[in-house]
Amino acid sequence: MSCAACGQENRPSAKFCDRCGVPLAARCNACAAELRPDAKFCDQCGGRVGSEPAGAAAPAAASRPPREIAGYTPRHLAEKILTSRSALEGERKQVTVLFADCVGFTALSARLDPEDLHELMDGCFRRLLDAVHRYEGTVNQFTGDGVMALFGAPIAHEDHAVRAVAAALTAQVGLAEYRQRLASERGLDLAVRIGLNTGPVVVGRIGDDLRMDYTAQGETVNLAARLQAVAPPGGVLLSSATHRLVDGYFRTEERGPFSLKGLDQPVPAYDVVGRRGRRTRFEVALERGLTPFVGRDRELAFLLDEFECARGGRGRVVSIAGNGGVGKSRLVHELRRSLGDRPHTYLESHCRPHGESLPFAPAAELVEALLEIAEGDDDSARAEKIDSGVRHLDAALEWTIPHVRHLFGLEADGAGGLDDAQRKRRMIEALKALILGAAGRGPLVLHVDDLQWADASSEEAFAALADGISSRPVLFVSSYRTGYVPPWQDRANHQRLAVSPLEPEHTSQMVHGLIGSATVAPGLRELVVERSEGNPLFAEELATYVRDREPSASARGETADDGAVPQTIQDLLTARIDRLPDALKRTLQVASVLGREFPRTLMEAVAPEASAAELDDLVRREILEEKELFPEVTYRFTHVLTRQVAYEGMLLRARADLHAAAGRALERLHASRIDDVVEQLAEHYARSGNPAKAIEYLLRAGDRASALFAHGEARVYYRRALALAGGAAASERRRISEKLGDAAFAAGALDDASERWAEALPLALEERDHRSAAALHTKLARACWAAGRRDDALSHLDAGIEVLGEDSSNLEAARSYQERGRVSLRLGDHSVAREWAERALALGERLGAADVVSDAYNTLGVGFARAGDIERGAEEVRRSLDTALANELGSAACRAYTNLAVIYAGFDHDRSAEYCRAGIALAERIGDRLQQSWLYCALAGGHCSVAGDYDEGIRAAESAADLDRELGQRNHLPIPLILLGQIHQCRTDLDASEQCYREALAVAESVGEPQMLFPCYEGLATLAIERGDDAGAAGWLEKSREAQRRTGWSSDTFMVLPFLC
Amino acid sequence: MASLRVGDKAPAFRLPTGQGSEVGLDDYRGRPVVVWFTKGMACPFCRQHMSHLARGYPSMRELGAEVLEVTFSKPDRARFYVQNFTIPWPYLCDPDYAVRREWGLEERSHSPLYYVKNAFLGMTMEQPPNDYGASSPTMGEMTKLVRDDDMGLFVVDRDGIVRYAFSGSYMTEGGARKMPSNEEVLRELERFAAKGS
Repeated sequence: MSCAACGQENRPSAKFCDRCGVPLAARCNACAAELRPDAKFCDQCGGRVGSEPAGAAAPAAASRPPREIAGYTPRHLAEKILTSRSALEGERKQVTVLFADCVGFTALSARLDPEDLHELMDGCFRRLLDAVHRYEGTVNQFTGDGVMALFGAPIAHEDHAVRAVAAALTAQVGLAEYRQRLASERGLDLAVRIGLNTGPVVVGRIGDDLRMDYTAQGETVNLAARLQAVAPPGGVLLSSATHRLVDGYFRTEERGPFSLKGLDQPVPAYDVVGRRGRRTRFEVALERGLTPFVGRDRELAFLLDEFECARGGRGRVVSIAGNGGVGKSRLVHELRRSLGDRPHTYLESHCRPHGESLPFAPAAELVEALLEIAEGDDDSARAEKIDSGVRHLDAALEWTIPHVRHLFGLEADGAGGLDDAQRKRRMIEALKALILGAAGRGPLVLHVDDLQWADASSEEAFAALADGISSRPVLFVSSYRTGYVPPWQDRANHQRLAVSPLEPEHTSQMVHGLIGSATVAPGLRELVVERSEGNPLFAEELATYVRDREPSASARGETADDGAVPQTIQDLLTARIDRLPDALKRTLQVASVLGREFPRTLMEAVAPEASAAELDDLVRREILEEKELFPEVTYRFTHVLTRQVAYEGMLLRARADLHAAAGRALERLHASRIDDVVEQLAEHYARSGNPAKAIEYLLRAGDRASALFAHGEARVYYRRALALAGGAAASERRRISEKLGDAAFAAGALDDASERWAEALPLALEERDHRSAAALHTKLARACWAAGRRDDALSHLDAGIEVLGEDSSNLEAARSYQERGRVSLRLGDHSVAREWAERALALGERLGAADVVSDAYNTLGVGFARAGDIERGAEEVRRSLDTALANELGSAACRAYTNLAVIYAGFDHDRSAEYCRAGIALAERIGDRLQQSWLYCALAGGHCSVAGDYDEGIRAAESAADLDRELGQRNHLPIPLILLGQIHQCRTDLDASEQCYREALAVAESVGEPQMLFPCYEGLATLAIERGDDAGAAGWLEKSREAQRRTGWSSDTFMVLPFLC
Repeated sequence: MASLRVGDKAPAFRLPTGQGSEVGLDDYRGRPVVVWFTKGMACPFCRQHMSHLARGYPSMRELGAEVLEVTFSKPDRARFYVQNFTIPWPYLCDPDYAVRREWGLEERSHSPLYYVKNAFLGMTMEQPPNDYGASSPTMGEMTKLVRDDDMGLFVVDRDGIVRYAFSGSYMTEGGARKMPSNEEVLRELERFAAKGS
């Protein structure tokens, strides 16, 4: 008896676990249901407690159907599951769920005695289970009147949906015959309804009895059960999820929509009407229509060469190797088309992953094609075709007839008296003789597809064939997936053709062809090309997925690329990963956590048990590739989707543990240069459920990005930190919000900056951290001012000074004074401005606060210049610039450059232009887009007034206007508009000019800055004068004089020093 | 007519002013004169230059010089300007361009190549970097086919001889030319004032 807590196997009679002491719950031997300690019978299945399991000696008296799963699961499947269960447990898997249920079971149970009922149900269940097992599904649960089976887990299959439907159909065929018999013999009506759905489940513990615990995700299981309930008796009903995956393989008809319990919306369903013959994925694709054949000219030419060589009588064996979906089947298809009318016989067979294939099935397909046996032929037709076909080929091949007949399950004479091994050998000889006989009549092309799935006998037959063709006109092409090694790889006449991913340009051609003119979000096509990485199947599936999802996605205002992996690709890759040996799979999962690329040292640190040989093995299988050898060995996932599927297959908990381990390992490995890996550390800790550490590294990464002026990146890091900080202390949240606001402001995102700072402010007040609150008020004032919200800016300035109260000799106070000075100056309150600036300067110098000092000099300088003392003004602003440059205060330096450019424009053009250039270069480097706009205007002003280069002026001004509009820098927007108005006026385009002035004025009036109001008034006045509108002119002139009176600045001052900051 | 050159005799003129009277170059015989052709108060950039020049005007007066600003303004507009704005020197009206032409100044159009070049610059000018994807360039910066008036600033000595001439198109194929600064004008005045004395 195994302990649910620690997994320890205890003696059957144990009541407590002998390792961890947890009480052991007794379980029913028959159905594994948990029992009460004193139970004599199971309350789930009625089985007697302590009886032998059903499989060993079935309790004949059981009144209910047998419920023990292991006893009904074929041994080879059971072994397959049990050997890999540790690797499966705790994985997220896409599965197809099958629910089957007997109709009218209750009515029958009332009419029949228990023994009859058991027999009846046994017949029914046997047919169901046989069908499920034939397609390698597993029965997971007996539901009373039926079963629930899973395809895709615990055994992974990329075609789980196709298998599930095939199993359901097979079961229904068998049951139909049974139903008929029961009706005629005993007058009973027994029918089974089957419902199927596809979706994700999380695989839980897999018991020794093969019972798999799972956690249903969403409606995966529920929907299958509900569909079963509405399926017609004897019918199979598919959900649309399953239907999508099997469309093309089966004939279906749409039913419904059905309103099902537990679902908000009615859902469509599909009735399966029949199969469409044995089909491969490529055949289904062929029917849908192929995409243009691109990027495989070299490979095709090679195959044609090989054919020419073989035609001359030197038989060739070519293996086409490549990953699933890379285009192997397509290549052979194109070979066949290219051979066109060159005389040859073409025989093809497919190895199938289904459990349906009998030994020799793929080999038999070649014979089938050779003798033109059709799927619908009955036994006598087959026998006839075999006999005449073989004789027609070569009378000397007569001896092969019994073997060929045997191959097709026909009665045969002359094959008796042989033991199995002899019979097999003769069979292989017969197949070989027959095919080579065909080669005697002309060139022959054989193609065996998906050789990796061939059964051992077929593989042997193909190997014999490969050995026999060296002097015959035969081209034997086999294709298989990377990782498989054919038995003939050492043969002299063998060539391996590796099909590698398509070049990006070819993938791009494909994707553009597929998406066509459908309207998709910009960049989506490129994204599909990028993610498919040259795999045509992936490209096609992703493109189709994106194309089909996009219209509804755009309607919701989102883009279709949500990073999801289309189901078909997911299934293909999941199956591929699950086929790996356990240790490799585990290593791959660890790798998927480490990233698309990872150094070997990191892997060794995180998973010491993963050997280098395993990594080499993954490289050999082309799942990983060695990216670099120096300075350290680095691996990379060959395909990003493989990584994603491996990663997403793991449970969150498992991922989190690995991320934590990766984080610790990185810290250890990079102890001396942790800054190189902060981003990765943040990523790992964020995903490891350790937000505190993640935040620490995210802030560090953000600070580093800020220091490099990568404001956009910094904002991403801070935003992520903030998102993780839900549970952090208020002070921590404030700190992060403030940083985020700082980065946003530095990037010119005024609204975002204001919002973040406004979030931080109440937290600071709550903590009674007055200085932080004052600092935030100052910052908010700045952002409000830049956004043209003058009143908000002023009230924040007041609030900042108020909140500090008596505590007024600190950095926060100095900054507050400085800001107050700047704003006062801009509002034209010259003396007030000077007072605050001097106060800020004194305090800033005492505290050694370079930013305050630099900005205060700037304000003072502008004040002097406006008052007419241009030399003194220039001197103070230069002092500001020197301080800023010496202390690496980029934005302050940009402000000084702007002002110097304007001040010098009047008397030293070259110097002015030089300041402009230096300022723009600096603003661009530090990403200060707010100040960049100011500098553009200084440049525009210079172009127009100094050099008369209006075209350049227009360009610079319009760039500035665009930038201001984008950033919401409303307190600067009037300036470029004024400049544009002036240029139009100069060029006597009076209407255009007036429009610009009026637009500028509307903004300027809400901001209230005299230096912006004045040129609007003057411009509009002179326009009116030129038009002869003296009264209108007088009105504007009055406003202009009012602005001059209010500031005490002369109109010359306004003209000569147009815009200072 | 070819532009005036240094050493040429300055063509005489007599024009109405915004201040009310008529003014001629002859009135200043014996004093150096800065003859400055502008678009007048109707142009914001010319106004800016006027403000700049006004700052150097007292120094020019100290050297005995006068500034005569020859504008496009009609006399009644000029009077309105003078009444409402501070214009320190005679503001002359040459609305039919007669004196300008006499002094060799033209209105000119640029060669088609000039516009092609500017349009190309407009389209290829580097856009400011931004976080939100490429902004669509507003094509307002496409050059309008405009006439360009020649600029002209001349210094005439006390004998009526042109001693300094800055004239012609603002824009040349080699780029924009810069207006002379107050310092340059003063330097010229000082140079030949010294020579003449």
